[in-house]
Amino acid sequence: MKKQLLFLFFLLTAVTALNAQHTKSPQKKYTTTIGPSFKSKKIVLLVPSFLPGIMKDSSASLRNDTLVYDLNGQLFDNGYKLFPGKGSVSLSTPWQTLMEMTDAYSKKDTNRIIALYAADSKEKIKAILSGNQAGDFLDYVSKASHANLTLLGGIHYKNGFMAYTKDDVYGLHENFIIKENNKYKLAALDDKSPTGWNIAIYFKDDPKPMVPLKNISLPDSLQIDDSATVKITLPEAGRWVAIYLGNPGESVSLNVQDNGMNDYDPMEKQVALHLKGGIFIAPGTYTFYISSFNYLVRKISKDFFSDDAKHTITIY
Amino acid sequence: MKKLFLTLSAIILFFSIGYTQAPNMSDGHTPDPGPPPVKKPDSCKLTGFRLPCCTDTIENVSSIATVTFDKTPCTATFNPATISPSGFVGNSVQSVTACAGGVCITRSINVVNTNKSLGFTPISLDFSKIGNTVDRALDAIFGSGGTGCSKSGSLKPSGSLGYDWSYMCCPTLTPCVKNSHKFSGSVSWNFGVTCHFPVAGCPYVASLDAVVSAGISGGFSVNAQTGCAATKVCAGANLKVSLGGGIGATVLAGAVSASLQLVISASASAQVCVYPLPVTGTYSFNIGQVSIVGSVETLWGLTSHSVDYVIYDGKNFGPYPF
Repeated sequence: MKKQLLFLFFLLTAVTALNAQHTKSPQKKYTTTIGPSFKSKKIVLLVPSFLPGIMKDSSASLRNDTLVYDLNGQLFDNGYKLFPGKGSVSLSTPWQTLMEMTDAYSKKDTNRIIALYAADSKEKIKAILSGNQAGDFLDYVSKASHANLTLLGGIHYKNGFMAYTKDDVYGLHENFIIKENNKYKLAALDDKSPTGWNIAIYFKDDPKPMVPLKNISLPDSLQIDDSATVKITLPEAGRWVAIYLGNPGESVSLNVQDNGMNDYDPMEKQVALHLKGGIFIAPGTYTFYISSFNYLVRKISKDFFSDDAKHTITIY
Repeated sequence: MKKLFLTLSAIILFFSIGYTQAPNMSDGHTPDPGPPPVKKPDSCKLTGFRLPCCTDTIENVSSIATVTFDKTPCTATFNPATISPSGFVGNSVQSVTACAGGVCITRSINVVNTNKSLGFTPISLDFSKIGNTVDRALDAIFGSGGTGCSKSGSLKPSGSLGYDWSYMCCPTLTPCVKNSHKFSGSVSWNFGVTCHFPVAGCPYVASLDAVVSAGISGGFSVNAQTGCAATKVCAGANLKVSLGGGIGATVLAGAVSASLQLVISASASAQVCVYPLPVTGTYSFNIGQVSIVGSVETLWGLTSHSVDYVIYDGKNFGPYPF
């Protein structure tokens, strides 16, 4: 019995030593990580058609001003952080491929990056990494991988899978992945379809319901060449304020972002905007609306008209 | 000698009496009074003479005068027999005398030279409002927050436009001589505005810088004269608006490149009324659907997208007064 225990001890020691040697191999200096499980299922994405950049798409059904997409894929409601240093050699799920990608990008490891691409796309990535833009490319992907890169989800798309990631510096990224020899590989994509583009806009904007803005102190009248400062308190920081007339399809007359475009108040959640008579184009009495959105709105939707948001002004 | 003279006188007297009385001697009754005296033309008398209040052509007075007599038929003589517009003044009051049967009546008539210009007044047109409105419309379409617009050209037209004024004859009106305005001339203008706007809609960048150019060119010509009736003199201005633009951008150190065009249609029209003064008019324009069409590449071309989306459905602006 004692001999058996000693044999077992030596066996474990040997295996541990072999493992240690294996992880120190120059080809595999990283830890294999499983990552989130890949559970593709039916998902429905409701994409407002008035989001800037949305294209007409016959693959979706239109409900009022909303495109309804019936898709197969997986969403991460709160996102899944992709940290450098957690690569995966198996590439057995799209998520493992993205984890491997994040690590390879963070280290600017061109061999591992090239190895991540499917056969049909290898020449393209090789050309990028050997061309004048190689430095810019590696700087870009490395910076993104260190900037709180987050996996938002993905959908089965065309002959593969389109995964969307987001970072704090560059914003949204698209990652097209195809299955090749039981491994999920990154691939180039020449996309003529509007679906991938529209879904990308959905992930970028993450649209939430608008908030009508009432109890705002507004002038009753204004000269067309004059302006008045209007102060608004917002429910959350960074939101957009849109001023628009009651004409669906037309452009919003004024967009203001908290601590951003056209905001003259440095305080968060406090917006001071300059209401110009000129935004009404010509003299007259106008009914208009003021609402807050968590994304930039360019085009007016019939879904935007709430009595709580309604105001009147006369322009001379 | 004296006897001879008396004898000849007696013979002449005898024969002369015998000749004039011979017809009455045939019936043996009272002497015949003879044929009625021949009516002389001036035996009728002029009782009335009227002329129109005015004329603006060379006229035989007889063709425009209205005369009345105590007897008919009767004719009147006129002095002068013809009247014609003066080459020196726009309106001359000319006297005409009509006579018949020793009765003469004098009347006056305004003889108007409608071709006699009595002064030219230039009209200045300023279409700046059109430019300002288009400017505001572009701002409204593309959203504010751009780096602003630069303008070229002017909507203050070049060329000349104005009116000559003269008199005109309006016989049914009181007074019958009125001012007439003859508008002539043509003006044109060429105006452009180029604006930079951030265009949202690319999912891989916050926004792209769009350059939108609007050109407004037009002309207005008029050749019209006001008449006796209260009318307006209006003409349509030949107004053209062109819009275009592009979004050519390579951002994020080349990670995202966009080759996009703004596809825009636009049209405009204007109606200018130069009479009654002051000049009035309206203008309107249409900015049609605005689309962004092209392609966007990400990650140095590893992924490319065909792009075609509408950022504005189009709208008619106006009519607005000048």
